[in-house]
Amino acid sequence: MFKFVHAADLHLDSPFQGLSDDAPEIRRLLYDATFLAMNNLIDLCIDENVDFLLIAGDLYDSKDRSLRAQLRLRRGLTKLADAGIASYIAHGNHDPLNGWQASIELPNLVHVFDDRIGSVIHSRSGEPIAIVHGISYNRPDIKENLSLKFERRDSPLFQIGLLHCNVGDKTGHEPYSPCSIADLVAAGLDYWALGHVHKGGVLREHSPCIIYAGNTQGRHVNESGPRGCYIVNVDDAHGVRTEFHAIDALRWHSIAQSIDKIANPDGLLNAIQGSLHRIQADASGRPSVCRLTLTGRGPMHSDLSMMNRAEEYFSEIREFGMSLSPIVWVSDMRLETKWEIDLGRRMASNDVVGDCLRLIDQYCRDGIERARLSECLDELLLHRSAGRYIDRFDDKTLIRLLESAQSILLNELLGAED
Amino acid sequence: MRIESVHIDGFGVFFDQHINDIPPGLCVLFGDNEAGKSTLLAFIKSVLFGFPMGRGTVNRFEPLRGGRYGGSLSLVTDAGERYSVRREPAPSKAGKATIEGHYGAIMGEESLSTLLGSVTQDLFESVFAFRLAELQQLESLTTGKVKGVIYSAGTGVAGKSLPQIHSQLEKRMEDLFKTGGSKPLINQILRELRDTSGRLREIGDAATNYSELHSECLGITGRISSLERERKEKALESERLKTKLQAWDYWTERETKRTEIEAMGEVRAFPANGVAELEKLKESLSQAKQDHADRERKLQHLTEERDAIEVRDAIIGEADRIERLQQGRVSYDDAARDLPITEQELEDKSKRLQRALQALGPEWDREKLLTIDASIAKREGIRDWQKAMDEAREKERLAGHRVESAEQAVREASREVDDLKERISSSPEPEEKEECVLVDRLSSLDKARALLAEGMRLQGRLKGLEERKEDLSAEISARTPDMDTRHPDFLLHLSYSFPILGVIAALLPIVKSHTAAITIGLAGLAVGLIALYARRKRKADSSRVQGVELLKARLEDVSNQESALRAQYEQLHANMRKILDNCEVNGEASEDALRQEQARLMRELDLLRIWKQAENDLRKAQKRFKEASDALEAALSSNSDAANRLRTIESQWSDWLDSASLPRGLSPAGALDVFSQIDTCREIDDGMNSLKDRIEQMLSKVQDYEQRIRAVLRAAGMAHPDEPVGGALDILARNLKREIENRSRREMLGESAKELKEEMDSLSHRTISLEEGIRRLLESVGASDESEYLDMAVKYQRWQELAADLERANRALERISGPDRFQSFLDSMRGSVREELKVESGLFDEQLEEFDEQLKDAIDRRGSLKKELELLESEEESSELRLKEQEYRAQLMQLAEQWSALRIAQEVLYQAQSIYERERQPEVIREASGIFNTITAGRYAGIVKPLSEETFDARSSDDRRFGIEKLSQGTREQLLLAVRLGLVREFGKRQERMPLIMDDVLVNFDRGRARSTANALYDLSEEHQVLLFTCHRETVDIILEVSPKIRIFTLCDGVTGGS
Repeated sequence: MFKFVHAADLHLDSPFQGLSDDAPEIRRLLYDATFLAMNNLIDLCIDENVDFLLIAGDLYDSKDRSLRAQLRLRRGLTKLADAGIASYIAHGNHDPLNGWQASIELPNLVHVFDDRIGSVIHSRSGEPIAIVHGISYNRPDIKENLSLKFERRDSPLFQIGLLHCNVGDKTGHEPYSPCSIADLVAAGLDYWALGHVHKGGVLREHSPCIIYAGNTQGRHVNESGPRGCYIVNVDDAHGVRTEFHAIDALRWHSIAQSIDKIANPDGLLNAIQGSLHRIQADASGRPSVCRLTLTGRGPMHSDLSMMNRAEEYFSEIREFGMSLSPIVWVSDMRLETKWEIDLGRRMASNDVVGDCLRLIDQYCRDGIERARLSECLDELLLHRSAGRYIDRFDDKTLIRLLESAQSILLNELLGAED
Repeated sequence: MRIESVHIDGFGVFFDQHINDIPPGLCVLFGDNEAGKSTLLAFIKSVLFGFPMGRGTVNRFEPLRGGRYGGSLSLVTDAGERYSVRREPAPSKAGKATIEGHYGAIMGEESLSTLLGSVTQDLFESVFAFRLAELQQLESLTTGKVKGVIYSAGTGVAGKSLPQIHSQLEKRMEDLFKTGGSKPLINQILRELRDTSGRLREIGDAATNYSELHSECLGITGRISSLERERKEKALESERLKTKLQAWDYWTERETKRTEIEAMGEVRAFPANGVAELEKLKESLSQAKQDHADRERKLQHLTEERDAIEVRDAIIGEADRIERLQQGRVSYDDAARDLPITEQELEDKSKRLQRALQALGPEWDREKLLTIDASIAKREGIRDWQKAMDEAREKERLAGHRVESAEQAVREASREVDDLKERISSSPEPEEKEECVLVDRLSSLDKARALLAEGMRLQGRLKGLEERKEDLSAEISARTPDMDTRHPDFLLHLSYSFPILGVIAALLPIVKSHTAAITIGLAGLAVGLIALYARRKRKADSSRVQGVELLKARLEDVSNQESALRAQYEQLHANMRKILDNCEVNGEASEDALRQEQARLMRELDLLRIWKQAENDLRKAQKRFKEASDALEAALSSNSDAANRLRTIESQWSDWLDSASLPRGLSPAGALDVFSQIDTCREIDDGMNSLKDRIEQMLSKVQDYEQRIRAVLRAAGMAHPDEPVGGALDILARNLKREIENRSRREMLGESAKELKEEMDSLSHRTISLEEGIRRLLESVGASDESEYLDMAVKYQRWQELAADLERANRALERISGPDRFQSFLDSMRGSVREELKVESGLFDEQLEEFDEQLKDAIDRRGSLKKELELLESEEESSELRLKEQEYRAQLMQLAEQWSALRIAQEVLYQAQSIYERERQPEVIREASGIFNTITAGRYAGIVKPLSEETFDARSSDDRRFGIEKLSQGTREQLLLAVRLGLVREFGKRQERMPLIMDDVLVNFDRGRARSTANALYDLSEEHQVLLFTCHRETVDIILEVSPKIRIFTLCDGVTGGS
């Protein structure tokens, strides 16, 4: 029997997304997080005394041309090799073979698959125990189904496929090396170590076992929750037992706090502080980054709408998160609260407020009208410099913007304050 | 609220003027130019809001014809309460207001604000009280509170105007983004993003060179290794040559010393410090001999000095006694000095005793003095007698005073009783003796007066309504035949007669239900219209017909109001009659009759209270007289007891003096003085006895001392000197001291001589021992004498020096060659020539320098390469920049969304505003539109308020819009007047209805529109008091055409006339 670790999508030294600002206290942590997660991966392999490590692509982002990423990767792999543990690597769409790579010599026990299907027999003390088949991307946009190139060798040894691919039609990921579970089953292997989809998971329990390891470190709010790798134990009868291991250095969270039935600032702050405490408890001793969204209707809406008031709350909440140990860094606070008024009644009134509400309601319901309205944003979206960074808003965003506009108008038209 | 009357004390041209009974509805104040109309308007504003303030040209309307600056207004609120507001000069320029409410209650200035509600001075001047010049101003309607009213009535917007909101949105957007801007947040972030991307590209390019640098570094490292190897070999050879050159001097030295030692042959060992030892022994011997001679001379001097000193032992034997005499010297001197003084003191005391005894009396001597009893018990007895006598006398005095005051009290009480009896008999007895009955009647009369006032107000309103009904009926009938004459066609008759029939049906009780009447009327109207249409075959002018219908509806409203008021009035009258019956007031109730009845009851109540008080006072006075009589009797009896007691005590005191052997007639105080003098005499006598004892002691002490001195002189063998006792003692002491010193000196000299003899013996022994030491030293090296001994010492020292030099040279050579190669090195040195060695070494040095240069270049290059590689490897800036780039992108998205939401809000608001302007107008504008339509006789359909602008447009009947600046002067004024009348109605719905005061605002109107305006004002006057000031007779005529009953006041040169 033997065991190995299956990881993928390290994305070393690639930046966190969606953080609008940060504090010096956590800055270092933010740009070190992917490396810390890799260190955790290396330490896990050594502590668990595994036979080898599999990495299924996207170790780093070639387009970033980060020397640091490749040197730190070599340092990690060298540490593994020094401990007598081999590593098998297949490159994916972010680190294809034709991408930028520094001429860095990797240690002896590291095997990198090239752009033709290759097979390596892994031995323990001279005794063969498994065959690893793998293939790397030679360019980023591989639309070919690479899984079809995999084929079981005529051998009783445990056989593993190492591939960066998109099984089925996973939304939110580029359709590179598209394949189906049936394709994978047809190859006749015992285990598929896959990469590409960042939210890991077991696609098939056995015959063969197919697993996406997921990325080792979440890098934006949509990658919340634990991130890590799989430890795979193989018994003599080739039975497989897998176990997920969180190795992320920093954990992402997204919380929505409703202001319904909250009557005063203390009540709101207490509720949010309670949520932050829960995040801290769930993070198992690691720092967290959290996006806070305030929702619902209630008396606190007018308070939050006052000039600079939301910033004051945000600062208070962020300070509280920073005071926790380990910290919970509140990256941003979104306001999606609404006036505590009877919108239906207000909409029926024959005044400017009623007209505004009816117009917004109509734009929310009518897509064509909405598209026409969005032309008023061209000043910004077609701006020669801004246009490079800002895409046209999708329909969902436009509806959200209409809701914000409604809130702005109600504040201006009905707010007692100047 | 309305103004009921005006009283001007002094204000501009006015002096003590009254305008009374100003009616609640419309009235006109007519007067020529400078009659005082504007001044009156200013006066009303001043009383309500304060005298005009400010500096320079502001007209404060100070009194020109005398009187106190200011005056008062009598106001009646919508609820029928009356207030009088007076404005007087005060330290503040605005003056001081005093408000008088019901029954003359005076209230503070703050209650004026309560009366005026939310109407401020600005608002009052813009909307309620204005002149032609102010009417023409558009601005006063588009600023401040007025604007708020116009907008908030319809837009649903609280607090801000739409243009304000637009400009705020615009500003918020510009803070975020501006095309071509640099400060807005989005523009800033775009700039940062550009910079960050550029820097990231630079770092990426550098990383691409990493591989080339790495292989160059490896090549250079190989070359450095081979250079180092070659250099090492050359350096070893060069080192060997250098060692030989370095050792050359030592080698030469070694050979020289070795040859000299061999030439010296055998040398005997010599003690290391032999010469010094000999010198030391010789020096010690000479010193010992010198010391011996010195001591011998000193001994001789000492012996001679000692023999010359002499000592007297007899005086030294008396040393103790002389010491004791010196100690007693002070005591002897004191006694000898004090003796005559004490004797004089004794004589003085004897004389004082004689004088004190004479003061007591001739019969007193020392014997009597010592025998009489003057103990403390005796003196205490005397004090007791004195106290008893003082108490008895005080009691007698107090009793006398009490008798006098009791007699006075009896006299006063008697007089008071007589006075009260006189008062009661002179005043009449009241009929009603119960106070509460009278108070109840007064309270009921208050209620009846309030009801009476309310009844009067209701009667007034009823009268007004009746007049209005008559006017409306007249108007209806006036309009109907007018149309008839213009359109004599029968169909036209039909079109008017049907509605008229309906109206008549509504007014007469023929038709039971009003609804039925209106239905008939409407049906008639419809038929009439159809007929009219059929006849004229063109678009009908329906406004006149609509006017008649409006009048009929109003007439019906007025009738309903009248019957409700009448019922209310009757109920009120019944309540009042009931109250008056209870108060036993008969006949017709009037304000005067009720006030007189209240005054009569108040007088009766006062009389009853005075009569009851007098009776009560008499009862109290009689009781006080009886108490005073009893007190006088008790005082007389106590006075006689006190006198008897004093006489008894005085007789007992005389008996006591006899028994104490003191003269009769002494008072207790005198007896105490005698005892005090006895104390003084006894004290003097005791002092004399003590002085006598002291004199005796002194005499004895002086004699004893003198005796002791004489005895000592004898024993010391000295004659008594011819000097007082003190001088003899001093001579004795000096002799004793001298003898003791002589004895000590002799003893000391003896001791010194003994010590010197001992030292001389010791020095003789030392001389012998030193001479023996020198002899033994010479023998130890085998020298026969001192000169041979010194030669041997010099030779041995030279041998020692040569041996040391040879050893040093050997050690240096061994260090240079190394201990293992020492011998072979010496052999190699034997065959070498120094000059050849130098030339060979120079050649090697040059070769080594070349190697060093090549190595240095290679190492420097490798160092810079490594540094460059390390920099690339440790580079973290790009990580941070990538993070920063993402942050900027996130910020950019957030801000872009904020900007977009604001932009959408702005767009939506524009659209909503356009809808609003097109389809809806606020309540005020709607009211104003109706009035404007009436005034312009339908030429204009209404007024439009564009939301984004601070102006008004007129909308014509064919729906065209004209900006106010495009209207004629008159129409513009009509529009602005209509807006004000709309505002007055709007305010009236929410708060106290303020009076409307206008100064000649109709002058620019043509007759037709002036008459329509007068009608509109007349309509408004149903709910608001309207005061119209004018100097035009024509205006008065137009008003009277609307209703001949409208009251006209006249004003001429500051004097108000009748109506």
